[in-house]
Formats: sequence, C-alpha cells, structure tokens
Amino acid sequence: MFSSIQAKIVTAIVLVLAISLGGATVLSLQNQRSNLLEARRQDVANNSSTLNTSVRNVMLAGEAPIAVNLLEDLSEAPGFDTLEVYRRDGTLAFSDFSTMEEVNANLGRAIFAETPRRNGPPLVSEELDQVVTFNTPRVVEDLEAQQLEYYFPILNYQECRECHGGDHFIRGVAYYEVSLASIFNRIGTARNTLILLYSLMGAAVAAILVGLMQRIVVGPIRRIGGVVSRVGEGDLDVEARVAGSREFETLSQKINSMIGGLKERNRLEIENSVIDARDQENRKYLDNIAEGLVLIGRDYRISEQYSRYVETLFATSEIAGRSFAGFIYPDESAQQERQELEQFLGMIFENTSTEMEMIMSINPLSEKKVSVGEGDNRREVIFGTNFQRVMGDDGSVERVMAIFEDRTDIVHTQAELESERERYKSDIEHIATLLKTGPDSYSEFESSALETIAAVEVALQELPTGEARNTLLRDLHSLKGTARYLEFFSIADLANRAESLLEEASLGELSQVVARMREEMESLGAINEKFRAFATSISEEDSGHAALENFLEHIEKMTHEIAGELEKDVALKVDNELDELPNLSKLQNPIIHLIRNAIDHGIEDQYQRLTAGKAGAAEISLSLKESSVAYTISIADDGAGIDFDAVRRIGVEKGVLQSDQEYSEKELIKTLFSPSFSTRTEITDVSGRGVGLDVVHEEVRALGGKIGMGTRRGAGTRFTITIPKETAQ
Amino acid sequence: MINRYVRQPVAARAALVTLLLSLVVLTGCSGPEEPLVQPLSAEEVSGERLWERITEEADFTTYDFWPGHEGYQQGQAPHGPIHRIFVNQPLVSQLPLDPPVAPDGSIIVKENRQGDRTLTGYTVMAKVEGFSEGTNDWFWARYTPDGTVSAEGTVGNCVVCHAGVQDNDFIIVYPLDRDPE
Repeated sequence: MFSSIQAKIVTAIVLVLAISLGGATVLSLQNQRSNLLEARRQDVANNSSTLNTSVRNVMLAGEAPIAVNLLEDLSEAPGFDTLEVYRRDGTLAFSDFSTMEEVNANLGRAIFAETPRRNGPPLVSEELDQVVTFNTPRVVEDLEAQQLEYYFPILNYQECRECHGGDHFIRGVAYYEVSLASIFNRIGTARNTLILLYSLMGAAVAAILVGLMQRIVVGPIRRIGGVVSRVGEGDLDVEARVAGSREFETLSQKINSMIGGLKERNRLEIENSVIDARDQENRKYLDNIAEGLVLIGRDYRISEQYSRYVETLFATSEIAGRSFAGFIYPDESAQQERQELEQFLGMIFENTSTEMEMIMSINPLSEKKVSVGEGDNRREVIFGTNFQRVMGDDGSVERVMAIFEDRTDIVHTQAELESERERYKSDIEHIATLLKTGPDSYSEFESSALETIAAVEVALQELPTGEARNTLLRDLHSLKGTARYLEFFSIADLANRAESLLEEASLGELSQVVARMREEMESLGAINEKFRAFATSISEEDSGHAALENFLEHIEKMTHEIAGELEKDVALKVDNELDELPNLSKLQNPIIHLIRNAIDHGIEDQYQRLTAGKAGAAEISLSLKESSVAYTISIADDGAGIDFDAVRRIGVEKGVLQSDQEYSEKELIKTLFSPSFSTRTEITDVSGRGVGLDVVHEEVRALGGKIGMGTRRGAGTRFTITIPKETAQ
Repeated sequence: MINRYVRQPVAARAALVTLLLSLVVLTGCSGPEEPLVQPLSAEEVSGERLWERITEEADFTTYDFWPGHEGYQQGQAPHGPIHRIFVNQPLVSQLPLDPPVAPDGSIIVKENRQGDRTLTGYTVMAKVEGFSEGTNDWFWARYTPDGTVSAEGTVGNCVVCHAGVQDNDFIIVYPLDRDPE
C-alpha cells in the first residue's frame, strides 16, 4: 500500500502536519503553562509583598495580635493552600511568647497581653536556610506534585528594630504553598482539545489531500500510464487526454507527440517497405518490360531508373546520368535539335497548366529515326516517344517519364505493306490491262520499256549530256506515253517521275525509281507469262477469230487514245478480210508499233496539216488480206512521208552511210530498218519512222515474212507486212 | 561516480560537526572578559561617572554573579520581584572575605525587574576609597533603564535598609565570609 505514490505523499504530508502541529501544540502548551506559572508566581509574590506590608504596618501600629488574626484569616483565604510565618530558626511564629517577652524586654514594658498561641510543627527546609543566607525570596515548583512553594523573607526594617533590636537582618520567613492543579487541569484540557482539534484537522486535511491527489495526480498518472501501457502493447491509436494541471498537460502533450512520432516512424517504416517492394517490383518490371522507359530529372538528365529494354533498343548501357537530349542526339553537331528537345522538356516540366495532349502535339520525338550500335552491328531504329509527367507532392513536375516504342518493324512493315498493296493494285491493273491488250501486244511494250530502263541504268553510272540526254528523255517520254496508252499506269507514273528526275539530275532517287520500274516490269512480265500461256491456249483452241476481232478493237481504242494525248485528229480505218490471223500474238507488237509510230511521228500536227492543205482529220488505214499463198497486213497514213534527205544526213552522222556516196530511196529505206540506225535513236527532225523498225523487221522476219515500205513526201507512208501462208501455219 | 555520492554526506557531516563544535566553543566562553580598571576616586565619583564606568569602561554584563545566586532570582521591594546581581572581579574574586569587608573598587549592579522580567532600572553600589566614612565608603546610585541617574551618593532610602546588614558591609544578598564553594 505504501508503494503507491498517493499513500507516500499523503503519509508524508500527514506526518509533517502531525509533527508540526504536535510541535506547535507542545510549544504552545508549554508557553501557556509557563505563562500561567509565571502569573501564579507573580500572584504569590505580589500577595506576599502585600501581606508583608500589611502585617508590618499593623505591627508598627502596635497591634501584633491583629497581625496574627490577619495571618490566620488570610491562611483560610482561597488561593493559599498553606500560609504560615516562621521564625529564622524555623519555629512557627506566634507559637510561644518568646518574641513578646523579647519585645517587652527591649521596650522595658509589657505592651501586649498574652493571647492564645498558635500550634504547628517547625519548618525544616533547605530553602529556609537559603533564604536566611541570601536574604532573598525563593520559589520552589514541584510540578509532579503540582505545587508551588514560596519563601519570603520578612526583613528587620529600621523602624522594626526599636522593638526587635538591630542584631539581625531577617525577622522570619513567610511560607506559602499554592496548588498548581488548576493550571495543570487547564493545560490538560487545552491539550486534549487541541489534540482532538488537530486530529480532526489532520484527518480532514488527509481526506482532502487524498481526494485532491486522486484528482490532480493519481488520476492523470493512471490515465497517462494506461495510454503508455497501451502504446507499449503496440496500440498507437490512443491519445493522452490533455487536461489537468499544467505539468500533466505538458506530459500528455509530450506523450502524444511521442505517439505521433512512433506513428510517423511506423508509417515511414511501412512506407519504406512499400517503397522498397515497389522499387523491387519496378526494377523487375523495368528489367523485363519490352518497352523503353526512362525517368528524366529536372536537370534533364536520365535517372538510374530506366528499363533494360532501353539498353537493347539503343544498343548502349551508358544511359543513367546522361543528358536526355545528348542521349537522343549524340552527334555534337545536333546542337539545334538538342536545344529544341530541351525546350520541349522544359514545357513538360514547367507549363503544368498546359495539358500533356497539347504539348505532345509538338513532340519532336513522336517518330524518330536514329542510328545505333557500332561497326557491323550498326542499325537504324525508328522509335516513337511518349512523355508523361511524374508529379511531386508539391504539385510540381518532379520527373518526366519518356516511353520509347520501337516502331522500326512497324514502319518497315507498313512500308512493305504499302508497297505490297501498290504492287497488288498495279498487278490487278496489269492483269486488267493485259486481259484487254492480250499478251502478245505486251511483248513489244516490254522490250521497249526494258530497253529504256537499261538505258537509264547506264545513264546512272555516267550522266549523259547533250543529244544522248535528249534521247534518253525522249525514250522515257515515249515509254510513259505507251504505258499510258496500254493502261500500265504505274509504269507511266514511274516513267514520268524518272523523266523529271533525269532532268533534275537527281540520281539517287532516279536509281530508286528505275529499280521500281524494273520490279514493276518483272512483275508485269511474270503476270504476262502466265497470261500468255492462258491466252495461247484459248487462241490455239478455237478463238483465232475472236482474238483478231479483239485485237482490232483494241487497236482502234489505242489509236483514239494516243491521238487524244498527242492532240491529233486521227481516224483508223480497218479493212479486214481475214477470219483469223495466224501468229497474231507475234504480229500484234509490230502492228501496234507501226500504228503508234504513224500517229506519233507520221501524222503531222494540225498546223502542219493545214499548211500542207490537208484535211484536219488524218487517216490511218489498216488492212488485213490474204491470198492463196500469203497474209498481207498494210498500215498506211496520210502524213508527211519520209524525209530521205534527213535520213541520208543522219545516216552519214551515225556512220551508217558514206557522205560521198549516192543512195537510192530503196537503199535509204533499207537503212531505216537496220539496227545500227533505228535502234539507237529517233531523230527529232525526221518525221518518219525510226523507233524500233529494226525490232519490227526482226519480228516479221522471225515469222518468215517480209516488211516493205513505201513513202511519198507530203503524201504519207505505207508499211506492208507479208507473211507466207506456209510459214504462218 | 560512486565517490562523488559518498563524499557529499561526508563533507556535509564535517561542516555540521564544525558548526556544532564552534557553537559549543562559543557557548563555553562566557563572553568577553571583564577589563581591569583603576577604581574610581572619591573626587571623581558621581552617578554619571559610575554609569560610564559600568557601561563603557568595564561593562557590568562582563561581571560575575554572586556564587549560588546566579542569573534571575526572586527579589522583593523596593527592587522588584525579580533581579539579577552583577559583581565585579575586585570583589567576587576575593571571596570569602574575613572580616567581611568589600575592598575599594568593588561594584555591585542589580537589575531591577518586574515579575515578567521587564527591566525597571538599575541600582548600583560602588566602594570608593574615602568617599563616606558612615557608609564604609559605599556610593549608591539608581538609574532608569536608559542610564539616567535618579538618585546618587549616600541615598537615605538605600542606606536605611542596607544599614541593617552593616556587619556584612551593607551587602544584603551575599554573606562575604561565605565560602563560595
């Protein structure tokens, strides 16, 4: 029980109270007793002094018997237990007549009659001796007996000596005995009262203290102790009530702040473990995701946190700590780009009021092609980058996350798909065209196109100049026209681009275009091969007539189209007496070639025709006839005819003809068909045939036939192909 | 650490012992000793001169008491119910005296007090050689508590009573021939 703070403090206070009150009581009682005793002593001294004076005066008046009566009366008075007067030798005064006799003797007469004597024992006391020795009163207090004795010397004053003689200084001693019981009773009563009072007070004080302690100290201590023990058990959701005296308020606040600190520490520990776990998770994620992630700090540098995939994507492990702009643009010369990229990062970091969507619209890395790796491992990477803000607690952008997406394959695949699609589209076109044209008529176009392509490929090695360049340009132009006429629009487009690129001397792109042309031609050739087999089987079976009809129909359409393109008014007049034409497929190309030449080069333009007094509408007549031995195909136009002078001059220039030699028209015509003349060039100012006549000649000859030509200046030209029936079969 | 805790109470105890010892020494000493001075002559003696002697030249509180009558004692009229009697060395050191005659230079100072010990005045006897043959050269003086002389010389009221003990050289309280032991 005494181990409780309450009991200790209360006991201590009650002890202090008891000691101090007890001490005070004792002191107060002692003081009171000594005061009372002193008062009693003074009373006795005064009374004795008074008695001494009274008796002396009565005696001096010669009334000794009255003095005796007075003494006896006073001894009966309250306040004196005993009052006696003794002589110096201790015998009771007035107990015999010795003094009276002495006085009578001293005065020489008897002045007193003998009165009754008093009886009593003598006083035997050390005190009496002391009084007689020192001539002064003495007080003896016997506290145990509660009694006070007073010895008072009665002096032999000068006026006394007449009767009593002068040989002694003290006459006797008055003896008083006074009870002190009343004093001790009063003191005892007072003591008891005080003890009772103080006990009650002490009990009351103790009770009040216990109550106050309970309320002020023990209660708060228990309350706070409860909180502390709960905290000790790990319960941090408690709070010490801040109330009571200031010290406990402070203690409660300190404990609350301690609990707060513990909570905070717990929270931080949990947070740390969560962060650790998340970091590990992040690291795992960053190590494994097939996406390039980097975190960019406010200094625009890449932090330690980036995904391993970035290393793979950019073929480097030097990533952390590098400036993001420097990482993307490692080339020192790309200062401008770096600056722009950092400005862009700055916008992401600082322009927080602008939506990321807006900022991303000017993302310089939305699709970026870079070269990564070293030496043989060097490769091109196309990546897209998305940026995201990582917000800090203060609402500012703490970091920026850049997410790289490797789009190399996607872009390549897209490009491949696109070209595939185009190829597919052109294949469809080609098939459609070939279906219309027929495989045979393609052959002539193909050889012409391949020649032109080969010429351009040669030109790529060394850019031709002057006439050679013009020739090449013309070839391309012609290819374009033919392709368009045959509805090979992809080839027509490529030829058109090639023509422009050649003019601009953009060899790099030209080579790509030419490659595409070759691919296209190969693709066309492949389709044509398949289609030719198919077409052949049809014609071989039973469609010779249909094929011829189809061919003639196509020729008409072609003529119309080419004339339209060349802004010439040309009518094709077909005079067909044949049911079918053997080897049509092999003859298609020479016929188309000759008709096209006629439209393009034989027919003058409108102005020339008007000047020559010709009808505006030119006429080309195609006639197919047969005799018993041969098939005859003739193509005639009403154009300008062959300029033999020009043929002669060009022939000399080309070294085909001798300048000093006379050539007949027949010989000159023969020259036109020679490969050395006609395959090389198409002479601008020759308004006759020139292009591919040797090819036509060769194809006809391959069928065992012949080709002849007649021309008249200003009137027109006629080509006649004759195929002997025996060879045609 | 332990030494520090041990040393403190030792030091405190030492200080306490020193204090107690000094108290014992102080209480053991009865104060300053009474100075030795030339007895007053008949020519110079007066109430004021005697006051000067017993307060300034040889302070009476340095005197001894009558042997066996030390401190406050009961008294009687006219000196009041309580008194203290101071006796100077020229007298007290000569006790016992046979014949009982105090030497010249003897001074007896009596404090007169009420029952509650309130001081009412001083009554002084001084033996001055050749002062007064009839009173054995005793010079009497009475002072108020502040030292004002209210009676001096061979004062009648004094002599009347004290003459009752002429055989003890006018000294009432102590028999000069009594052995102090």
